[in-house]
Amino acid sequence: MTKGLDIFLCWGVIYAYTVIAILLLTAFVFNKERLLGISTYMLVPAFIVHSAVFIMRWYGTGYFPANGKYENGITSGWFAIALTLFLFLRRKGLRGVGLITVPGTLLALGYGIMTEPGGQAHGAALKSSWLIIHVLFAQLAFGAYLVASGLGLLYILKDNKARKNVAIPFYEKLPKLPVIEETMFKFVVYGFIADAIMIAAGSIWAKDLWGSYWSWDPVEVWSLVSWLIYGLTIHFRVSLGWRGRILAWILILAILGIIVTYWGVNFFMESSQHVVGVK
Amino acid sequence: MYRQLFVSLKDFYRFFRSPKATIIIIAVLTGLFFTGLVIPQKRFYQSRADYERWKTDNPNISFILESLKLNEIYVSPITIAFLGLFFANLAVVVGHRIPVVLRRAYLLDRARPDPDFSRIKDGPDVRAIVLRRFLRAGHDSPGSGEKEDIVREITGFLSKRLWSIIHMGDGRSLLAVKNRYSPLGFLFFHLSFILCLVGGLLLTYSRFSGKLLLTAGQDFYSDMTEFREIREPRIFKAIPPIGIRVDQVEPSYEGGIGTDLKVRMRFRYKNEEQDVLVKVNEPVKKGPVAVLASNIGVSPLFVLRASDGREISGGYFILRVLKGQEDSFEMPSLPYKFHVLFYPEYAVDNGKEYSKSLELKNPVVHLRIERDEKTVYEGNLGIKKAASFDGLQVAFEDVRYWVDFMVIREYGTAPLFIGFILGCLGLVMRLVFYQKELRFYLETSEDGYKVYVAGKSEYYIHSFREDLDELVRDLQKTLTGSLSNEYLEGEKNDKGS
Ligand code: HEM
Repeated sequence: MTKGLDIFLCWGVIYAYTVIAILLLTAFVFNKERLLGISTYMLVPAFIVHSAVFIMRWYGTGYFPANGKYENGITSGWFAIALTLFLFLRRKGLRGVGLITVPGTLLALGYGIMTEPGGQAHGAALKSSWLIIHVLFAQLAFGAYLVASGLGLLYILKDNKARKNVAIPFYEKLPKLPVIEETMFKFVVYGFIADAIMIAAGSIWAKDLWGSYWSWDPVEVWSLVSWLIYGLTIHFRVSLGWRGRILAWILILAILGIIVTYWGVNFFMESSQHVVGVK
Repeated sequence: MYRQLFVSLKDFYRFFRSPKATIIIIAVLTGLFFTGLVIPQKRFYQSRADYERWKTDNPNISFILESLKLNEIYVSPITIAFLGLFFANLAVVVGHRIPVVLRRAYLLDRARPDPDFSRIKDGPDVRAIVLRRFLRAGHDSPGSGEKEDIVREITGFLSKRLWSIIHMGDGRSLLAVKNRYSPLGFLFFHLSFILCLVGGLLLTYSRFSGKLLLTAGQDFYSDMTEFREIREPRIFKAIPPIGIRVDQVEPSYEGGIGTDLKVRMRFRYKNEEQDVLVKVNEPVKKGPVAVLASNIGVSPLFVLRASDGREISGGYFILRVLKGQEDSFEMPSLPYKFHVLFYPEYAVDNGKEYSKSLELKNPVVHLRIERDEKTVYEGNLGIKKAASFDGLQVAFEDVRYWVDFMVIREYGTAPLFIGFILGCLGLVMRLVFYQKELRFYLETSEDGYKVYVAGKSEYYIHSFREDLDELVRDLQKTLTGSLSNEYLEGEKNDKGS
C-alpha cells in the first residue's frame, strides 16, 4: 500500500516544486519580492512531504533509497532541497538559489517516476554498508554542487544589474556579491569533500563486489573527472585568486559533469546487476 | 652557452613550480581521462573480432588512435607521462611548501622578534572595546594589576572558545589562532596522492586474478590449470595457496532479480581450514587473498546408458542456461552434441512453455541431441527422467548450481587505505577547520583602556567579519561583566575590505 502512496505523494511534490519553480522564476525575472516570499512558504510543506516520501520508501523497501532512477531522484533531490532550505533559513537573501535546485530536483523526480515508478527489487549487489556510505555522500555532494551552481547563477544575475548600474530594490536585498561568492565557495568545498568520500567508499565497495578498487569503468571515470574539475576550481580560487563571475560561470557549467555522472551513465543498475547472473 | 642553458632550465623550473603549471597538468589529465569516455576504447568492444571490424571500417581514425595508443587511454604513454609530471610537480611544489606550511601552523620561527601589534589599529578589520576604570574585587586602588587582569580575562575567554594563544607580547599584546594546525591538512591531502599511487602501483603489479568455475560438491586445490582468465602478477608470482570445496549454493530471486546469494564452502588458506559463507559484496578474505562469488549457473547431471542399462558416460555439465539461453555440451569420444534449454520452475501457459522463477523448484531441460548436424532426439525431460535415442538412453539425474569464483591475490591495500584516510582527514582539516587569527592590543590612556582586536580568516573574509563582530560583542560582555568598569561604545573599522 505504501508503495502506491509514496508515488502518489511524490506526484504531489512534483506539482508543488513545479509551482515553486515558476514562482521563483517569475520573482526573479520581474523582480517580485512577494512571490519570492510565497515560494519560500510553499517550499517548507513540499519538503516535508518529500521527506515523508523518502522515509516511506526507505521503510517500505528496508533499504536506503538508492536503487534505480526513481529512488535516486528522491534522495538526491532531498539533499538538494534540504541544503536550499538551510540557506533560506540562514540568509533570506540567498533564496534565489532555489532557481537551480528546485527545477533540478523537479526534473530528477519527474524523470525517475516516469521511467521506473514502481522501483525494482533490491539486487544483491546493492546490499552493502559501503554502498550506503557511497550513496549518502554522492547525494550530499550532488545537493551541495547544485546549490553552488544556484548561487553562481544568483551571483551573475546580481552582478549583471550592478554592472549596468541599475539599482533594483529586489536585487539590493540579496546579500552583497562577495558574500554570495563566499557562500558559493563554501558549498563547493562541502560538495568536494563529500565527493572525495563518495569516491573512496565506492572504490572500497567495488573491491568487494567486482574484485578491484578501480577499473576505469565509465561511471568511475565520470566521477573522477567531475571531482577533478571541482578540484581545479578550488585551485583557481585558492592558488590563482580567481573570484567572482568567472568562478560563478565555472560552477554553473561544472554541474553538467555531475548530471552526466549521475544520470547520463547509468549509476548503479546496469553495471552491477549481472552479479547474480540474472541480467 | 651552458650559462644560457642553465638560465633556461632555471626559468623552466620556476614555471614548473608555479600554480599555473599545476593547474595545466591537472587540466590535461582531466581531459585525458575524459577522452577515454568519448574516443572508442578497445575494452568497449565485446570481442577482438568486433574491434577488428571497427578498425577496418575506420582505417584512418584507428591508425591515429592506435599509434598514440589513445584507444587504451588509461595506460597510454601520454597519460603515463602526464601522471609522471603530476607526481613530479606534486613532489616539487609540496616540498617547497613544507616550510611555509609549518610556519603557517606556527611550528617554525618561534624565535621571531615580537611583531609590533600597536599598528593593528590602523589596519583593516579592527574592532575596539573601550573600557574605563578597571577595578577588580581585591585590588585596592585603580590601576594596580588592571592590565594583567584584562589580558588574563581575554586569554581565558579565548581558551574557552578553543583559540590557541600563540604569542603573548609585552603584557599588552596577544596573538590567538583558531584551528592552528589546519595548514598541515594541505600536506596530508596532497601527500595522500603519493600513498594512493604507491598502493595503486603495488596492487597493479602484485595482482593475481583468475576465475574458477566450481559445481556444488566439487573440490579445488591450488591447481593453476583450473583457472580461467588468469592475470599473472609481475611481482610475487606464486599462486595463492588456497583450497575450496563448495558445499551449498543458495540464491534468492525476486521478480527476476537476484536479491541474494549465499555460498557455503570449506575454505583452506595455507594450512588453515574453515567453513565460510560467501555472499555478493562479502567475499572471503584471508591475508592478501580474496575469493568473490561473481556469477552462478546450473550444472545438470546427465547419464548416458546402453540399452542393457550399462553406464557409458556422464557427469555434471557446467552450462550457461539459467536465464533462458541455449547452451550445449558433448561427451568424450561420442559423436553427439547435446543442446540444452533450461526451465528452473517449469510451467505451461496457453501452450507456451516458460519458467515461473529462477529457483530450482521444478527443473526441466529441453534436450535436442544432434549427430552429424541432424537431430536424433528432441523433447523435455524432468528430473530423474530419461529419453531414448539411437539405441541409447540419456537420463537427467540431478541438477546443481555452479559458482563462478574470482580469486584475487594482491598487496598494497594498506598504503591505499592510509591514503584515503589521510586524504579525507587533510581535506576536512584544511577546508572545514580553516585558520582564523586574532591580534589584540591593549592601549592605556588617561581615561582607561582600549582593547583593539584585529581579525583575519582564510578563504572567507566577509563571513568572518560577522563572526568577528559577534566575538567582540561577547568579549565585551565578558569584560564588562567580570570586571567592575564603565563601558563605552566600541569602534569598528572595516577599511581595506
Ligand atoms: C600536481 C599536483 C598538485 C599540486 C602541486 C597542488 C598544489 C596545491 C597548492 C600549492 C595549494 C595551495 C595551498 C595553500 O595556499 O594553502 C593547493 C590547494 C588545494 N589543492 Fe592542490 N595541488 C595538486 C593537486 C591537487 C588535486 C589533484 C586536487 C583534487 C582534485 C587538489 C585539491 C586541492 C584543494 C582542495 C586545495 C585547497 C586546500 C589546501 O590548501 O590544501 N590538488 N594545491
